[in-house]
Amino acid sequence: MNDWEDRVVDASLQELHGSKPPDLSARVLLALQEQKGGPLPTLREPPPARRRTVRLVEALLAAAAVVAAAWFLGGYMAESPAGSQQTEVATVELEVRVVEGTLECADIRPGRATVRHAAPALATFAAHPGNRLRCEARCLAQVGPFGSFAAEPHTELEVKSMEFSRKQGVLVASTLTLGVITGAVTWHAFTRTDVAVAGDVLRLEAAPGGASGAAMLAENERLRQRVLELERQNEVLQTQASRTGVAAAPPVETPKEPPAEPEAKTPNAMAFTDPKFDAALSGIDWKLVGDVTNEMGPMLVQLAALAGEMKNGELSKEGMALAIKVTELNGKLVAQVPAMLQAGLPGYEANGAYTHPLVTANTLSSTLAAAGQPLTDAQRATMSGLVRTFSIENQSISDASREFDLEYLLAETEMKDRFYREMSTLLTPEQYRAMYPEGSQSNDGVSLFGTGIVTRPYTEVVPAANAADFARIASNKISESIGLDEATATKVRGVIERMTGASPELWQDPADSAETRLKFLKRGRTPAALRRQIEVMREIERSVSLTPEQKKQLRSMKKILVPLPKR
Amino acid sequence: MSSRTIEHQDVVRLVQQHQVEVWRYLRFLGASNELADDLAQETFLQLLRAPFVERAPAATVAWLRTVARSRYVKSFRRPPFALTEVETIEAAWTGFARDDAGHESLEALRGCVQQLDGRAREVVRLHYEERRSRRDIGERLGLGEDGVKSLLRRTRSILRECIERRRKGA
Repeated sequence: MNDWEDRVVDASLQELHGSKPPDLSARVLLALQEQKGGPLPTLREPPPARRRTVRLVEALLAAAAVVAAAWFLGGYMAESPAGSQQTEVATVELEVRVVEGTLECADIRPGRATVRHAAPALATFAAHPGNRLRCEARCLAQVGPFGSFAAEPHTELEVKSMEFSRKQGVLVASTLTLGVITGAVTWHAFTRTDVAVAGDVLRLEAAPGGASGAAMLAENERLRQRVLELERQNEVLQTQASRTGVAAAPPVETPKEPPAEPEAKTPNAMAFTDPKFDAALSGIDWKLVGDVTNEMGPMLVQLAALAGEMKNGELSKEGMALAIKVTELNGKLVAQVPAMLQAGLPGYEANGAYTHPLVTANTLSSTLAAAGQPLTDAQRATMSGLVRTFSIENQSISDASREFDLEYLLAETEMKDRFYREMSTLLTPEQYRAMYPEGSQSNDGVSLFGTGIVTRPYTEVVPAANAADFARIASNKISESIGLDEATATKVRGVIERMTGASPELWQDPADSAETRLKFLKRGRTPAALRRQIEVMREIERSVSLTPEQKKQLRSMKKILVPLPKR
Repeated sequence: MSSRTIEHQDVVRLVQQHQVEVWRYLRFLGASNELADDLAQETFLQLLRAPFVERAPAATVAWLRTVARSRYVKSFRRPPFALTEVETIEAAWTGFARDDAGHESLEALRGCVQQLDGRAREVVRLHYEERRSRRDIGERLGLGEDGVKSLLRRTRSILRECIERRRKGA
């Protein structure tokens, strides 16, 4: 038996013991749906060893975290302590309002049927485990108090559970858990927007009871309607904008007149170009990107400030209105992301492409133009050199071979931090303020010109009193993630405690409530944790006996565990 | 089957027909589950990008395997195997998969594993079911890590012969 015959048996034994072939139909179908009417998605060529193909839909949805103000709030909501609540499971009939398309409600209980509801329709759906909601074509519906969803074609959701939480006998909350069987769905709830694709699980919460329950529900309902209305307006605006973009994109040359400044002549044109990516990136409405980024900058700072002042975990009405506006604007940016992905820009997933030097420079140029502070020719010429240099570095980082997946993230964010710094030094004070509104630099994720938007999706905060406390929680998380037995987990815990305890930079700055509750991490905290985590992971691999599979999983780990020192 | 170019619906049909074989082939080459998922998806999307013309199912599968192998190789900075090995790789795979994506061989293997006894059965359980490290297995079986490696290889060889016997007898 040669090596390859041995490998056939080895792979087959792994399959017999749990490594099953998946059904890829939905994934391929979604990818095909995404490129319908346009060119096929361009995959990176050649993909580096650690690089996994960004599924177009998945990447697009991940790009929703470009700003993700609602995500911050959602993160808080999802992690609110349950206290002494008791949870019970029941089947309830939810009111489902079909707003667009056709929704199929499948009830698996004996004697129940599958019913199709075409919009506009008001239906009931039993939240019984196993029951399913299906959309053959794109559909939009509102589900009881849990929010509204927009489903991509061929999407199927399955009820995993429906739970109620009571505190001292009073119903205080309900939770609906749905699994995405096929397709993709965007779920809008009271203060958060979740996106999920096949294989993901959505955990949706509602608070129907309590002293302020009725008022909250009414407000909830009003805001949901507002979100739906804004989404519809957004779609209309995007359609109009794309039509305008198509008409305005090709620069018309008039032989008798000298070429004008790019901004003056073609507001959607790219200020910085690269022949490798120009074809795809020219499809982006750069004027829209600039207008939106310019408008969002101060809003994000304001939202972060309001979020920091939250009382009893509730955002003020002003904050809610702002969050909705930011979400709406963010949607416009996300709509431009497919072109970035199709361009095949190297980067750590979707937000890595969004922060590529070429994209960043064009975004900055159009943002400054929108702010009435356009780049001068001299500035543009100097920046072009920077863009070329950093683009080459970006590509080499992407092509390089590294042991741990997170090493790519670190290398890329360190490079981009330098790029942001060097770009900003070329600006006038007025331009600098347009790039970085006051207050935007103190926390990750508040500025659109920062690497916080690349690391945020992978950051998990771990409030801890000291290194031992952190090691206990972190080792549990790693154990769950890569499947360690108790003895191995104890060894891992020891490594984490020893190494993070010897890292004073992780512990010298106690976390404030905005960090603990809202994950608005102070600038610099995540990179410090990421650097140390890579060292810890290397030490774990060196000193702890792991199976090949565990090593593989450790190396492909994407989660950044950030210690938040308790006061 | 007469030859013709393919449309989107054909891609979906071909995915359903051949995804198991492409995915298993990628796993056999050494791809992790996640990488196999991604590369299999890329392989099928390539049906529309490349000048693919559908002919007989066997030709389609061979084409898909070639694309999948190429994608897998490209996912490394250095090729994980020499080009001269491709024939050996293909022979090993087709000998196992035959014309049913390896279903029958896998079923035969299932039966063969049931027949194992003693240390062979134990090493399969510890390595594949419980995913224990070689060191851990060695401590339990009183072997060094190299001993565990040899035992695993011998066991797989026994299983391979068993599969052949079962398939011939089927």
